[in-house]
Amino acid sequence: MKNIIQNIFLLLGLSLIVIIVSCDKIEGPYTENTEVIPLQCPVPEFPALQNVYKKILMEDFTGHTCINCPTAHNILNNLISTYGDTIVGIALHVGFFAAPNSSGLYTYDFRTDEGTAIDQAFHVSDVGLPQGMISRTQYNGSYIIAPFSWSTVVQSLIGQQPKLALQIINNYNETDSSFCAHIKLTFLENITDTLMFFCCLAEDSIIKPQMSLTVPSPYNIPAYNHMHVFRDGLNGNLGVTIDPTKTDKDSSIVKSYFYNLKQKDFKHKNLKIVAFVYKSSNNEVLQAEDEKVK
Amino acid sequence: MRFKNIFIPVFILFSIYIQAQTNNEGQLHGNFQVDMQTYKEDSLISAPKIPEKMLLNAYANLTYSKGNFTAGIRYEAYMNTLSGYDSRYNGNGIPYRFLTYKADELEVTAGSFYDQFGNGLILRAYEEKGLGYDNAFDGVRVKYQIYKGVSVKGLVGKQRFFFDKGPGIVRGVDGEINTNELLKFMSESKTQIILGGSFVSKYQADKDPLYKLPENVGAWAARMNITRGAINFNTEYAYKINDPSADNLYIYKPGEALLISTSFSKKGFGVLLNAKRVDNMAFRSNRNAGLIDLNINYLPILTKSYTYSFLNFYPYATQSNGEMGGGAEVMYKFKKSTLLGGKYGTNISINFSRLNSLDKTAPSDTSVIGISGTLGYQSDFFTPGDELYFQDFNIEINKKFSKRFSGNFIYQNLIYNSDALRKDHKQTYVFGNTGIADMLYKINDKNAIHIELGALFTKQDMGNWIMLQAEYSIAPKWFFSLSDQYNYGNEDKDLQLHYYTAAIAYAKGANRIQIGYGRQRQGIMCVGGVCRSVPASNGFILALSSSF
Repeated sequence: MKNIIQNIFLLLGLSLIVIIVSCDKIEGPYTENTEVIPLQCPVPEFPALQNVYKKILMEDFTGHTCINCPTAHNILNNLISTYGDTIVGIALHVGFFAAPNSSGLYTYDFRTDEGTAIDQAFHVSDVGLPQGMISRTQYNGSYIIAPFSWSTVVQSLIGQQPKLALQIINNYNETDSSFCAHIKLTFLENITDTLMFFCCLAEDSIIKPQMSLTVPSPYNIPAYNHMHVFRDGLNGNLGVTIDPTKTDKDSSIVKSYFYNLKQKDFKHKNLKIVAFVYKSSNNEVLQAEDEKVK
Repeated sequence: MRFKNIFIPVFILFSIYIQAQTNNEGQLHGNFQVDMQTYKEDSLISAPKIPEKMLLNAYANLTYSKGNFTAGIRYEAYMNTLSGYDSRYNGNGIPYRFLTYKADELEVTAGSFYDQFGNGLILRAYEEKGLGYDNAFDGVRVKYQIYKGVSVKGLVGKQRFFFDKGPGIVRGVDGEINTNELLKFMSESKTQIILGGSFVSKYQADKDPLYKLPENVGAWAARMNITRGAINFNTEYAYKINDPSADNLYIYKPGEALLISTSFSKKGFGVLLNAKRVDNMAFRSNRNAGLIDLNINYLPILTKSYTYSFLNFYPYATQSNGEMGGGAEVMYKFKKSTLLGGKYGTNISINFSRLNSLDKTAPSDTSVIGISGTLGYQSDFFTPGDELYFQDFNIEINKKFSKRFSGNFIYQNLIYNSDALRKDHKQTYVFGNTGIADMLYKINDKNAIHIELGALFTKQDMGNWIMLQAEYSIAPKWFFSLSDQYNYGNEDKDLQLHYYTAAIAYAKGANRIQIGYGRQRQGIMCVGGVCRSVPASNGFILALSSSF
């Protein structure tokens, strides 16, 4: 009996140690200071709003070993040619087709934690690539829209009234390879929905290999021009919640982010900030904007 | 690198096997299963074009045991995954391999293993092929019987993530005391009491630029099972500290869950009462994971599980973010040679279950409910929310009419919150009435006919359905089946379609082969409250299984 009690106490002691070392209770505030305007990023004066129209966010889910994906890239580029800056494009390299190979042509890893999180949240690559989301609206009951339907969906969304405006000013600092991104949200009507704000860095004209059905087997295009590539998130996987007390008509909020480009293999002149605001309830994107970093 | 690791245990395993053959010791068991389907594009039912035209899932298990050692592997191949399964399984390999040593009170497992603490509220690793669900641990586990009636187990591992592993490390310890075995004065008692407790912690690095995330998230649970005569009482309570994740939209509220189950049963009569409350209890080894990926725990359902197709059209999916409800079932057998019992007796069971949302109010640190980076919400433990998720009332009568003829008859009245449970944003509620008549006629000892008739009436979703399924079996080898589900009540006349299936199966010994053709509707499939969506499909099916 004495041994049992000793054993039980030993186990209780070990369990207590496990419990003590295995819990991190976080006290509020729960956010890092990144949403506070960084010291090195004084907020600039934004110009007055002019000619605000609702832009459409095109999220192209793609991968470098996906042979049908270049067709989707072309559809997106054609939409941008047709509708101009009304279309804000971004290419998220996700899933099996974006995984790098250990050797050969496709060793580069385009994937990002944020892109993977978005893909998982909407289960996009589960149905195979290429696929897209268009302002995160649903078409035939699904957020995931096949490329051949993109044009139809975009047409149906063109011309809607904007509920808010987004303006972006990027201050690039060549000396220390960094930049400050400032995004101003101005509400054009009272919005009672909970809104989320997402901001990320994208890069155009990355020359890397891509598989494509448009060339003969083994379908390799060694120097393919990758556009709108999602490179990094600036405010988490899902973005941040917008203070609901500040979404009345004519209210505005400025978000500022400092980003250090050192040790990144990004071409600074090809970088752009992409920002958008979406409804927490149904994910619908209310406004999107992009602006070059340099 | 992975394959290199795999080959070593495989080589050892077969070396032992060869030696075992020589010494005529040890035992090798295994099974093999192949499911293959062809796919034809069918725009009417939204069955997509599958470029591969044919897809295949295959599994092979081998277990070798000798003396105190047991070792096993499972080979899996998805080329490519059957439609509806997660395409991240595509490929093949040996994701499951283990070695167990058991001597006296000690058992040690290295490699892959499944386990469960209590009801699973804070830890359950298991496999469910129908869902493509497998959250096995890869690590080490030790089980130890300290004394008669007192046992503990501890484990540390990472969880399976398709052919890889999740980023989090899970550590857990569980202890159980059987008081009747431990305490002398309880050994003769008619009251049996089993007490248990467990603690689980997961570690995942915080790389989030915005949120201060807990890298170590702990959860504990306590449970009790009391049995006295015909009465059984089982309960478990679990608590989890702040665990902001994609499931709860990064709120910092702690989670908790309570299960209570009471039953009374004696010959010919039984009563079962259940209650449950789940509040923010999603617990995964990757806080960014979604779908059915990397769950550490399992939240049991209290709704009735069915095998009939129409009764599974609108299955309940556990709401890990919050649900509260209860259920009751009464079973009674009318005795033989009574008015309602007839010659052979009649079984009747009446079942009711209902689940609601939680009652949520704004937390102390913000005025809005559910905002990321806050405590999220507050919720009174004993107050259910206003939103109904699911309600099922059903009566089942099982009757043997003669030595050869028996039947099972079910009526179900269902309220299903489609918006909350399927997240399809199409309609809020589906109200359904379903009837099933399942009849079996044994022609002789070998031949039997099985007929299932079903009707589902609803004004929502896809409207009314009827079905007929006929099966003929020649025991023990042959089985033939034909069925048709007809969606005659679809509002869209073009979608008033027949969903035919036909199958032939042949079994000999431990081998079974089944060939079939089927048109499957789009839907949702759940096993134990864990669900995946099932896309529509049209094609031939081949299933092979064998064991030794």
